[in-house]
Amino acid sequence: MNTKILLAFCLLGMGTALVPNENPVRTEVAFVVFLEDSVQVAVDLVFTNDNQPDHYQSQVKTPVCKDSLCYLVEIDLYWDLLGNFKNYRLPPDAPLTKFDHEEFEDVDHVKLKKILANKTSLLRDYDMKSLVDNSVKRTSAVVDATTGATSASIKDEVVGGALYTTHKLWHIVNGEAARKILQHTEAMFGDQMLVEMLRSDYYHYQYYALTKIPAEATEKYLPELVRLVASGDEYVPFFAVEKLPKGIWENENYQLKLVEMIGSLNFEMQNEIINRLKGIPLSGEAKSILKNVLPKLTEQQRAKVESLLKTGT
Amino acid sequence: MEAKRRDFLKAAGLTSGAFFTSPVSLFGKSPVEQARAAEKSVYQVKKYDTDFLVAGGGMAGVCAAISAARNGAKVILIQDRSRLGGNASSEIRMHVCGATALKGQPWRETGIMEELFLTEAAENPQRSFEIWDFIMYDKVFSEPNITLLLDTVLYETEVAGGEIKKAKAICSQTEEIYEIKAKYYADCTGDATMAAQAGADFMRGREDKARWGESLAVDVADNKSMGNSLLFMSSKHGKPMPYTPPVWAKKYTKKDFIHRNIRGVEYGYWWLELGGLVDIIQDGQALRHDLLVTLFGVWDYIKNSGNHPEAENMALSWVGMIPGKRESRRVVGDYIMKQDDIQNAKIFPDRVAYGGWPLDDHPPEGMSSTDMVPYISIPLKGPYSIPFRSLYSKNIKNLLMAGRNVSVSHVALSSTRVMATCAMMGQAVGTGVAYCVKNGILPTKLGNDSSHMSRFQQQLLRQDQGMLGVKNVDNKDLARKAIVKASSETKAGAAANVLDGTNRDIQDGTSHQWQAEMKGGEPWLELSFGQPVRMNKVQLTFDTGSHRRLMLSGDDSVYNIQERGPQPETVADYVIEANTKNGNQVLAQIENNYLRRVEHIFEPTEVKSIRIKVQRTNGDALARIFEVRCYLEDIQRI
Repeated sequence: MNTKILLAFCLLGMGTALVPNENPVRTEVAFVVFLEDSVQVAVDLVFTNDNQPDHYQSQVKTPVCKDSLCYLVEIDLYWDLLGNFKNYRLPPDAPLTKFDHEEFEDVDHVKLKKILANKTSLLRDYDMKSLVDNSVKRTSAVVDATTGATSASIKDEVVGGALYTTHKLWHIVNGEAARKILQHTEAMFGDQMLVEMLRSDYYHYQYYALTKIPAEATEKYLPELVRLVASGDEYVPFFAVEKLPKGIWENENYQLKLVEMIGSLNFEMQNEIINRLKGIPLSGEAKSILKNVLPKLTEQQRAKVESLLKTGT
Repeated sequence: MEAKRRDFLKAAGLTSGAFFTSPVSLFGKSPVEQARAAEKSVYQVKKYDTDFLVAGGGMAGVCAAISAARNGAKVILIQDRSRLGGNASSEIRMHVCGATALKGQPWRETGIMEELFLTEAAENPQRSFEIWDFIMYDKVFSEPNITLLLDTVLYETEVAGGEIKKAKAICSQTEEIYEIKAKYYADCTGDATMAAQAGADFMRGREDKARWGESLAVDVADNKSMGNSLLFMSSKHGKPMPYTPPVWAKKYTKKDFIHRNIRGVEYGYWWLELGGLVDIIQDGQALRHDLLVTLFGVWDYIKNSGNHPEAENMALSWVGMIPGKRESRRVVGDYIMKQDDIQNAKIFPDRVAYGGWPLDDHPPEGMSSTDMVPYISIPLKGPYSIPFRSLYSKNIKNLLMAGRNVSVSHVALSSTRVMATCAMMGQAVGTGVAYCVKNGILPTKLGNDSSHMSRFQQQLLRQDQGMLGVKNVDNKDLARKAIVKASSETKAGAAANVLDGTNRDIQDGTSHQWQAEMKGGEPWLELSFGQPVRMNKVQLTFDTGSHRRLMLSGDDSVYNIQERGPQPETVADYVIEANTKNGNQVLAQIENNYLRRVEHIFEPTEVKSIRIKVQRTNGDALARIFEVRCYLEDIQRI
């Protein structure tokens, strides 16, 4: 791997950075999709050394055309188990180029990866026709000319000079292939995968696994849930705390764990814990910890906690 | 009027016995007297015969009624509430959105909508929604051609031979039943109630991709729609204001607001939305309650979760009881607008209005699935045209429509539904009806006949309706024959611009307005005629800053960034003088103007030239005039 691509991987920085394994233990074809222009794309599932599903990948060769000018894009794409974009790799002799044949620079790669990772990009809802400025020329003779508002509204969503490449790659990455990846993973989803995802440090896996815990079985995953309450990624803690079974708040052991977290949680998660302790009998030790955390709280939070401390054991 | 009991029941179309005894009129009477009184019909039938019945007094209906009246039609406007404005009224308080969404582009809606925007900004510094109701009421009431019937509910529409013959409405406050015959009818009810009663073809639900090739459509067609929203307002007090929700309010936690931003708490949220999964019309009673359950739950979260300490001194000051609707029926017209018409603007030959709001679709789940992103908003490159053929019914000849119930696909509706766009449709429909009355033609003729349509577009343009790519070619405009000069002009604002046929900034590199420095004194503009010309009307179009949003809103972040009051660019004080063979004569002298279009009517006068002297602007360093028009016509103020 050359240093440019290595740098790009490091810059990606999304939880567990998946490094494409040069010598995969096992790969199997998961499914095949056909792109709009009937290009066949085979997507492989790659396993870890322990023979666990790890990620999906595909070697894609597709033309990108503007009017009648085409160039061939060759790119290796990598997705996580849920169909979220992870990374890409380019063969050294087939770099990505913009339309003046200028090669992508590092900053372009960073931007492209960010766009590809954004499932709610505007590119999802614009077809190529709507992105192109030709309509301005067509109508300005008769109608008031519209400004290049296209660029203004979508310039953050495309790599400058590589509109077609960005659009096409986004749809390859986030279209049918991504949907089928999720389906494929769901078909083999079991308890082991659920637990691994819960234990991961990766937001997408944590959130997905949380939604997969059956309502009646939350007791089984208590340690993982509590961990996610304390240190889940992004807004995972708000979902994790919701999933905690009712009884846990009254269990002396877990109650202590939850109360101990308060000092290090963000403001809103602190409020979640404080609110849920209302009406719950508190152990002496829990009360003592709450007393100690008071100075770290805001005035309104202190008022709530003081009212918790007043209630009998 | 006496009527037999059975006939009355049939006439009222109601089986409830409630109409037979009026508690007020029978109060204190003996049982015998009560029984006798019950035989008399309490409700009086009142018959009307008019040119134009507008059903629905929201933004679309108000503009339809006003524009028709101003163009000489006799109008009856029925509204099922005591206040006008629909979703914009004080009862619902949705702020009026439109083409100002096109950031940096000068497309705020003109015409009657602009009159309303400007009047509200100038006359409602107290930021009161009820006063806004009365601004609309005043505009409607000021039209002698309009008969306004409030608290009047349409309940029956009679059709024969593909035409509406009569509409029946009831007003419980006055105990009247109205039977209204009109030449033309406009359905501005939002739900297309009149159209449905009349047997007009309509669409409902979400069409699939295959239907019209819309990339934003759903994969499988269904009956779902965007939901209704319920709004609230809160105000700040000098001390903490504790809040206890009703026991039936929903409980929310932070996880429910991942996709729903609570930035300000003084005004409610568009995403407080439900109903797309049910029958949004017929399930309305339960839906309203579900929205209240949600609303109080959200307020409880704001007040009691601890996550919004800034709300500690805030308390609810108003809670809506009428949900703001977005979508239900859409009447089929000669043309159905689709996604492509919105994203790739077409120059329809029958273009009579424009839109500019993004394609803003909401998933039907609304607050019932807080894990879903509550909207997709796809900004547009520029404004798009709305054809007249989307504003009248395909199969009911004398039925037109304006508002959210027009001939559009579900996807297109996600842009056309906003109230400023609806207002423009209303003006197109009202003016169109007046045109049809005058020329004795059907709407479909107007929509499909190019020579009628060009004349109609000129009429609309003169009345400042916003349209794309329509220039002033009115042969009756005497100003077009004039030579124009000015005391001074800026490089960007040549005096000749006032006669260039365009009355607004259209971002084509020309300002289309005369501009002159105020600081030298009173700049003037002069139109002179080779041969003296007889005229009795002069119309001026001023600059009102059309790139800015301007509307009443409960949302501080929307309201506080506006230029409230008269718009600074607008000429405030001016004089129009005529040079006649008897010397100079003042035709008009105006102070404190804040309107965009002003028409001056005076005794027919033969002039060699007219001069418009600008004495004061509302703040701008430049005097600005977009257009001058002159006419000699029968007096009919438009």
